[in-house]
Amino acid sequence: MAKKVLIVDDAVFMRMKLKDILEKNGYEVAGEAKNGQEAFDLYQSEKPDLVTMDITMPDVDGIQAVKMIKEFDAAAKVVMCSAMGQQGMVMDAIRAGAVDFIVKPFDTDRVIKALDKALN
Amino acid sequence: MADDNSVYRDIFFEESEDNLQQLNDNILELENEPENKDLINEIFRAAHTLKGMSATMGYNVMSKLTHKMEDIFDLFKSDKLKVTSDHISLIFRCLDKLTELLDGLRDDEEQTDALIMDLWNELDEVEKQVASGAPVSAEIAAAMKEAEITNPTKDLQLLFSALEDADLDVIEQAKVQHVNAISAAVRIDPESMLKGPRAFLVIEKLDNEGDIIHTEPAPDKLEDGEFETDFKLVILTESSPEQIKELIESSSEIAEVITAPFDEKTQVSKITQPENPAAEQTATSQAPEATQKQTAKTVAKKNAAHGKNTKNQSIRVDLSRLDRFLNVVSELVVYRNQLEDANSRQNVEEAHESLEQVSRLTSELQDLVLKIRMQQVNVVFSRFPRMVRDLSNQLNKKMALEIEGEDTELDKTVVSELNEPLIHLVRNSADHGIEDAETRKRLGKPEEGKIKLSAYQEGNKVLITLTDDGQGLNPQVMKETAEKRGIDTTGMSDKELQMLVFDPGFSTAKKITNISGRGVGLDAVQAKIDELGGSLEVESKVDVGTKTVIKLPLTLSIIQALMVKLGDETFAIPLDVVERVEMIQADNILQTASQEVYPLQTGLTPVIRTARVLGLPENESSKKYMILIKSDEKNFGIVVDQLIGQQEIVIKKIDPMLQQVKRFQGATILGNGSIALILDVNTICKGV
Repeated sequence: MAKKVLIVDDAVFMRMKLKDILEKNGYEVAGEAKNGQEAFDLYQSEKPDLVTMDITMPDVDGIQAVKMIKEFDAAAKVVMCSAMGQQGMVMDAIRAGAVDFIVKPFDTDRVIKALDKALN
Repeated sequence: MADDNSVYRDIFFEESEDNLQQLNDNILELENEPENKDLINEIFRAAHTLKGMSATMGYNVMSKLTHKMEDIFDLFKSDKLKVTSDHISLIFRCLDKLTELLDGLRDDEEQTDALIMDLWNELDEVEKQVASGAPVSAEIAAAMKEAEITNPTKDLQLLFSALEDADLDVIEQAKVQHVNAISAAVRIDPESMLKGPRAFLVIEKLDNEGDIIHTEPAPDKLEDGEFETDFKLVILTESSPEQIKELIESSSEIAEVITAPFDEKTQVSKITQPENPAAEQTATSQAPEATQKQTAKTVAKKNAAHGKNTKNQSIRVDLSRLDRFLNVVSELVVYRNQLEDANSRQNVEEAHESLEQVSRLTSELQDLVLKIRMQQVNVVFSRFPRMVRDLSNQLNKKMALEIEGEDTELDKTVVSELNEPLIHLVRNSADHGIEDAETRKRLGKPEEGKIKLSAYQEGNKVLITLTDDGQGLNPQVMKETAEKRGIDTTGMSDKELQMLVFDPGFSTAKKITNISGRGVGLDAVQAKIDELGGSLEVESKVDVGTKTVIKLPLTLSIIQALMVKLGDETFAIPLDVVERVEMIQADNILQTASQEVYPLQTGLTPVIRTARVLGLPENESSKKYMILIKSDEKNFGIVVDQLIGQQEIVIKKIDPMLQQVKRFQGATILGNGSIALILDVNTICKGV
C-alpha cells in the first residue's frame, strides 16, 4: 500500500512541486498544511506515515510543529525541508526529533531517497 | 524565499563588509608573500563565503563577480597561476567594485551585469591565459584535473590521527566492562548541501545508541561543516558494528560508511594525518576566529532586529558592557523608587541619601555610555595600507606604511569623521612628501620612503600623528608662494610659515597631480579637525620629513568646562583649552599699535574683550578675570567678568543659523534649566 505523506509548507509552489514528486513516485499525499498548527491538526486526523516539514512558516514554525507532533506521537517521522543558510534551525529540528532533512532547491532523486530511508 | 532573505539583509551587509575588509588585508599581505598557501586558502575562503552569501540573497551581479574572482584564487591555490602585481591590482579593483555594488544594494539599486562586465572579462582573460598557457603548464593542469577527479574517490579509511591517551584509556576500560568500542568512518555525498547539519544528524542518531567519545574533525567543526566529505568517530555502545552502520545509513545523502570494532594498532596513526596536514592546521588556527565571529553575529542579529532595512549606523558592543549597563539601570530604578517614596513622605534626609546614590549611578552610566561609543581607530587606519600601496604604484615611488596604536579608542563619531582628513594627509605625504627614488638616493636616504601613522592616548586626548621621511616643508618656498598669493607673511616664524599649508587655497606643489590636487583639501583638514574640537600641528624639517600631529578630544558629547559670566549671561569654555586663570585690573590693559595686551609675568599677552566680541554691554567694574588659553600655539587672554567654576556639561547642537555666527560650539543646559552657550575660543581668537 502506498505510504501516506503530509506536506507542510507555506508556499503553494513548494507544496505543488513536492506533491508532484511524491505522487509520481508512488506515494500518497495525505494532506497539505500551510503552517505548523494546520500540520499538527492534520497529523492527528490523518495519521500519515511521514511528514515533510518546511522550517520557516508563519504562526507556528516547523520546529515547533515537530515538537508538537513528536509529543503527540513519539514514533512520528518528520523530514525537514530547509534552505541553505538554515544550519542552526536544521539542528534545532534534529534535536526536536526530525529523522532527516532535505535542502531546497529540491531534486526528485534526493527527496525520494530521503523519504525511502526515513520510512525504512 | 525572497521575504526570508530580507531578515538576513542587515547581517548580510555587515558580514560582507567584514569579508571584503579581510580580503583587502589578505591580498595586501599576499603581495608580500605570494607563496603563502595558508593566506591563499584564507582568501579563497573569504571569497567563497562572499559568493555564497550574495547568491543566497539573490544578488546575482555580485555573486557573478565573486565567482569569477574565486576562480582566479583557485588558480593561485593550485599553483597554476603565479601571483603577480598585476593580478593583485586587478583583484583590488574587483574588491572596489564589490564595495560599490554592496553600497548600491543597500540602496535597493537594480543591478545588471553591465556593471561588472569589464572586470569580469579581464578576469576571464587571465583565466584563459592559464588555460591556453605554455604546454607544460597545460599538462600540469590536466594532471591536476585528473588528480582532482580521482581525489574524492580516494578510499574512505578508518584511521584516527588525533586520539588522545585519555580516549584510549576510556576505550580500554569500556572493553573490560564488555561495552563495544566501534569506530566509524562516514563519507557524505559530495553533492550534499548543509554538510554540518548532515553530520550533526548522524551524531545525534548515534548519541541515542551510546557514547561518542571522539570525532575527527572535532564536533564543533563537524557542526559548522568544516570538512571535505569524510568524518570519523569512535562510539562506546552495546550495538554491533553492523547495527551502527545501518543506523548511519538510515540518513539520506550518505555516500559510504565503514564500521569496525576499534583497534588501536591499525586505526591510530601517531603522526599527523599525511593527507592534508596544512588544511588541518589552518582549521585549528581558524577556530578562535570562528567563535569570535559567532559572538559578533549574535550582536549583529540584535541590531538587525531593531533597525530592519534602515541605514542606522550600528556599533558592536561587548556583551559584558551591556550587562553592566543593565545592572546599573536596575540599581537606578531601585533608588528612584526610594526617592519617590521619600518624597511622598517628605523625608528630606532619606531623599538626600537616595539622591547621592542616584548621582553616583548616573556618573557610572555616563561612563558606560561613553565606553560603548568608543571605537578603535583601526576602523579608519585599516584602509591605509591598501591606499599607500596603490599610491606607491600610481606615483611610481617606493614607500611603506607603518601603523602603530591602531587599538587606541575614540568616540565613534570622531573616528568616522577622521577618515577624510587622514586620507588627505596620507595622500599629501605620499605625493608631495616622499621624493622619487633618485632624489632620495642622492640625499643618502633609503630608497623606500616611510610613512608612519600612529595613535595614542594622552590624558583625555588622543594624538594621531602622521610622519613621513620626505622632503619636508621649506619655509622659504612657503613664504614665496604665500606672498604670490597675497598672504601677508611679515613677522612669521618658520613654523608659522609651515602651518600655511593648511591655509585655504595654498599649494606648494609645483606639479598638480590627480592625487592631492592643488592643495585644496589641506584647509579642509584644518576645518574638519576644528569642527571635531581638535587641533593640528606641523613639525617639518627640509629633507628630513614632516610630522603632523592631530589632537582630538576623547569624546564629543560631554566635556569639562569652565563656567564664566559676562554681565548677567553665563557661558561655558571648554576646559581643555584653558591654561590658567588670572585676576586682572582692566585699567592695566595696554594698547599697542595693532592690539590690546596685558602685562603678565610671562610677558605681554594679547587680550580679547569677550563682551565686545560678542556684542554684549561691557561691565564697568575694573576687576576682571583673564582666562589664558592657547590657540594655534599662541597665548591669548579672554576677559570675563566672573568665574563660576568647573563643571561637566553636555554639549547640545545649536541651530545652524546660530552656528553661522561662529562664536559658539554649541549650548548646554544648566542645573537650573537655563541655557549657556559654549564659546568657540579658537575662532574667537582667530578673529583678532
